[in-house]
Amino acid sequence: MAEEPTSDEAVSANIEQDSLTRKPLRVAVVGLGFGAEFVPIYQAHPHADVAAVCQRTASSLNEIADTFGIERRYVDYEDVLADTEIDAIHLNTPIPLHATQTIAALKAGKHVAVNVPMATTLEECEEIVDAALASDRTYMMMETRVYSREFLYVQELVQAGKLGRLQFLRGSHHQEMRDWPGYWEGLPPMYYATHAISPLLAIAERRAEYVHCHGSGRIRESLATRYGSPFAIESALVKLHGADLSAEITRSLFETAREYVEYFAVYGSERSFEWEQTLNSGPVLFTGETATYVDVPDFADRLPKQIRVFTTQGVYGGSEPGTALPHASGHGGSHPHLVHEFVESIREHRTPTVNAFVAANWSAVGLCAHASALAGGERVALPAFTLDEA
Amino acid sequence: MASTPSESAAPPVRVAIAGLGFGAEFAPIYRALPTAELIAVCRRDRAALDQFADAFGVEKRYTDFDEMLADSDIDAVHINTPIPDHARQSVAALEAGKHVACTVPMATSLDDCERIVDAAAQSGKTYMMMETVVFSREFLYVQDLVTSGKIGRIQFLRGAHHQEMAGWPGYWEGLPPMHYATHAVSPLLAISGKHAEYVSCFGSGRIDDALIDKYGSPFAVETAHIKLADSDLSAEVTRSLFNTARQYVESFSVYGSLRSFEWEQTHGSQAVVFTGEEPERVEVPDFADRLPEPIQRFTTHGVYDDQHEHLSFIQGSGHGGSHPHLVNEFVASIREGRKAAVDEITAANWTAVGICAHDSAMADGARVDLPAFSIRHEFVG
Repeated sequence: MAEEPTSDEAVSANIEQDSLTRKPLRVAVVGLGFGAEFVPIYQAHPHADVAAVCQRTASSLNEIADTFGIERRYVDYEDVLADTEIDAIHLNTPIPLHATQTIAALKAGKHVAVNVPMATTLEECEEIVDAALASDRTYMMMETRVYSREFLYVQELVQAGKLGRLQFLRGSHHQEMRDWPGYWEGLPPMYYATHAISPLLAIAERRAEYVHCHGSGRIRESLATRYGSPFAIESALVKLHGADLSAEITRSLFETAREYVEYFAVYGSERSFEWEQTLNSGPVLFTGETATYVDVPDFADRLPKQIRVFTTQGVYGGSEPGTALPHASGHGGSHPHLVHEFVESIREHRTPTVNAFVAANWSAVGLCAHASALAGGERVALPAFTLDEA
Repeated sequence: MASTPSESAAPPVRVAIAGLGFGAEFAPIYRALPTAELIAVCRRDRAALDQFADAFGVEKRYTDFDEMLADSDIDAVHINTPIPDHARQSVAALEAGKHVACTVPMATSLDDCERIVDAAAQSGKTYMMMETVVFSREFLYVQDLVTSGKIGRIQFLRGAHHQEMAGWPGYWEGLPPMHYATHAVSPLLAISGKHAEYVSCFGSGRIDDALIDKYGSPFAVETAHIKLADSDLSAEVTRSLFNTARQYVESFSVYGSLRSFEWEQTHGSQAVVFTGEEPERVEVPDFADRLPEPIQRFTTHGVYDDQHEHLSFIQGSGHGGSHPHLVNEFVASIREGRKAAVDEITAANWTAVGICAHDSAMADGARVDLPAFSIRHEFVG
């Protein structure tokens, strides 16, 4: 997925050279809760700048804009779309808004980066794919998992042949969402599954072809009625397209005792990697039958030097990280890698790693899995458009 | 577990052990248990048979299983023979009027499972599958957590059994992973007190070509979903036997609304109990105190000294201290004239899960229903 890193010097030299001849990408960051994490990264990136920020609440909009010295401030998303001095929009808005805002941005001629999931229905996923194709603009889903240091570490092991033949993949995401408002109340576990499935498909460099999913357990009636989804846990088997590989993913959101975890494991014929069982117990690398606890390195050296600091520090100098950081351990240092990939794919006129087809496939796994669970575990095929290549 | 006077008055159950590899583990336990008597042993290799019988002072010695069944002094046969022999020998023993204990799996086909279920019903004798996992100290610990309400509502169950079988001969070469799945399946079903209703299984990866031909099974890993009958619960089990890097493990995890139990990730790292979102590493206690005093010591000590322990005993960490519990349950169920904890229907259900799962994997994950004879629609815990 990630480009081969050239040497440190070469990366920086190329960037310096480009900077003299091309204008930076003018980015608007929309939604400043989790989105605030990305503002200083775009500002520091040699090929990008934050041209505007947008948030519905004027007070917090001004607070963050003041902090980062950003002049153009919008409370209305429509005004962002109409601003001709914005090249790209990074959406960090509530999930139910992703689809309409993404499509509107593409139609307004903006490049779009958006948080997970792509959308909440298969129809919306297809509309976004179509809009991206029609617009000739870049679409990228900002999936943190596939730029976490653990992912990059395992990807290196796989590419170096150290795992041998890939034999099986497993992911899980356990998170207690009690009292999270609105959209989250009673959400079917698989409707927010990209963190569990994406590392598996990205490591295997495959799309999902079909799924079988079982729902298990039961959440309280007041939650279950919200989406008509009674399950405490959903576990899906995922067949990988064009490979003899399968994966298993498990999700829970309510009334299931478990420390927060976004877990993945990759089993190979020579070596296997398993995520740590408890926070800071350390991931395990199995060489044959021998288990070794491993320290996962940071991959900041793959980034322009101006944004390397952000693999280990949050927005506010590290002392006061943004809301998403403590639980997810800073998303494994993924934020600057995501920004870099989005910016560079636009500059290089190439498809980003998590393009619209990939994003649709990853998002559709969860949607199809929940449909399967409601049908007692029946096989549900991923829509054909999610298997297309860019 | 205290015996009533009438039970104490009943004569000891006279047991024969067939197969003295792994079976040897059980000999001293039967000998030490006051309610049982080890009166015969059976092994095809005459020299090894005599050596063993001499060591344990067993007079009746058989090299032929069927000849042993003709011995009217024998009440019960404990079968530890190679897996392909389980079905025929279990049926023959039941038809000869013997109670039967048999190591896992019950049989290698659904037809054979049904034959054993029928033979047990017709004979009226006790059949028990000697599944070690459901008498391991970890299982007994989690069972306590569940029955005391500490887990809360059970929400999900997961089991795995990873074991590298490279170089194991005969039956094991190229075995479909799910054909030896009772260690992964049994704790999940036993904890929930339910039988499996249907499965869906995916095969994944590929084993060496030379292994594939034996059973026509190419998969390195098989992972199955199990729908539990008369329940809103599902379980997931994963198995690997070849070409898959992983420390040996027979793991099970139980997720509840209040607490969850997860097996230790690596050997010796200790199991984890989550209370809400808080993890705690736990020391799992031993449950020898549930046993008659003379066999309590066998929860922590095998038959042999350190240099001579049976391979599977070492790999299975002594099977969690399960052996004396298994022996005690088998003998007690016979003496009390009741079904054993892992009776023929439960044994058929646990065994059929793996057989059906592999069928499902060969059919790209299609749902496969457990046969009706293997499902009991009532609490079975």
